[in-house]
Amino acid sequence: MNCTTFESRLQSLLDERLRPQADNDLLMHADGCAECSHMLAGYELLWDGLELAEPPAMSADFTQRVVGLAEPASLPRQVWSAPVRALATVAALILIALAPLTRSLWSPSTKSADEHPVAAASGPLPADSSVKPARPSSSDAAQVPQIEAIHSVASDAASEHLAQSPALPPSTDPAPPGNTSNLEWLIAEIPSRLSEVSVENFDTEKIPGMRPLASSFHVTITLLRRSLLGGKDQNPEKPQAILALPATLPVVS
Amino acid sequence: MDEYSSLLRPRRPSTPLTDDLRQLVKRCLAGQQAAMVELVDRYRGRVFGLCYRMLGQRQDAEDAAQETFVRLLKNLGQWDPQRDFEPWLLAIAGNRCRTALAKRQRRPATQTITQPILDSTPDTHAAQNLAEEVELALCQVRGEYRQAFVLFHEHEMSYAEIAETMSCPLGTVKTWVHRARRELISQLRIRGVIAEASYELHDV
Repeated sequence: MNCTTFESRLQSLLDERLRPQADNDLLMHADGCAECSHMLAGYELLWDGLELAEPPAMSADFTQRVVGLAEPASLPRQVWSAPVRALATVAALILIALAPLTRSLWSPSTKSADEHPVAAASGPLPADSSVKPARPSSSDAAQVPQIEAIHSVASDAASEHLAQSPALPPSTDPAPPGNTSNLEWLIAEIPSRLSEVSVENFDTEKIPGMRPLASSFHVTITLLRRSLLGGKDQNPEKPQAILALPATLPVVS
Repeated sequence: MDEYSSLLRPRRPSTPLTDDLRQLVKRCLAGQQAAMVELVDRYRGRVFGLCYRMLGQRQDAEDAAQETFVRLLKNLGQWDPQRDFEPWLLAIAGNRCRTALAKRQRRPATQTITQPILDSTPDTHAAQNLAEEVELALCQVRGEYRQAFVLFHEHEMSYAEIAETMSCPLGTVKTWVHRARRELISQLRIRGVIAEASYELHDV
């Protein structure tokens, strides 16, 4: 055995947590080699020192301090993620349902008439509703007369459509209960409104430009029916994205 | 006790994941403070021991141990019950210590005495001096080597467990432990601790 193999052998013994005393060849070499003898003695002192070098005591309030700093351990994600997803889905459906019925929440100064595609779908609102018809943007001065004309025609057509629909409720609705907000009233009224509205005979002959608006309106009502009423589409053969257009209108490719 | 007894440490019994620990972790995740206290008390000694060996100062070690447990409690939900708990915990502690060491290197540090101090007074505190010399020598060893050495010889973890804790190959861990041993011996020689010591062959 030489010094190189001595160290290698010593390292292996230490890796195996074995006593060098068990290796006679190691001891014999150390006895005859000062350098390796020093190495062996050095390891002995090292382990003695490690045993003696005990870590000092920790602070008495260490554990309390740690627990105080740590927030409650997070629960596994799968415990609460499902209800959160369900709530998010319901919230999204409510937003879709409220979009056509809460025109009053939109700022009239920033929306023009053609940005309210579902204006015609909203039935009569409570008496104290703050709904106002959309007005053209003041910044678009050159197009104001044209937009106002379109808006007035659209309102007339919508009113005519609603008047023709036999299932619509009377024009005056009871005001919401005194302790019920307008929003809560709207949410409660949505299902009954949806079942009453008919969009099949929306007359767009008077205003050809209203066809995209009618299409959007139709899609929205269809979605609402499916999600809130739990019923199937009244035209199951037609894909959701393709609307039932009146025969008089050209089909846009 | 013969001179080799110090070389042989009783190997710590293996601590496989038990139902008791699983239940304790579950209670911690449920937010029970008593369970958190129990978990911290169970492992604070080992975590602090590693941090103290890595950082060499009690206050720094306690700060690192505190950070370790706070992170542990905040991220307990991410622990995979299929994995052993202690290597994961000591991995967090090791990372905290390495971060503290990096911060310490960036700021002006007190000069570590590397030259042996000649003292002619009778050495009545040989054991204490030896312990201090070993601690000083350990502080001079490179961080990764030091951590691997402490985990192997003080925490008596296997090379495989250390590899898992330090997220490195097993061969690398073995190399680090060997190099740490050599560096420690070299440091002790430089400081005169292993001056003229020589091994005497005793009858087996």
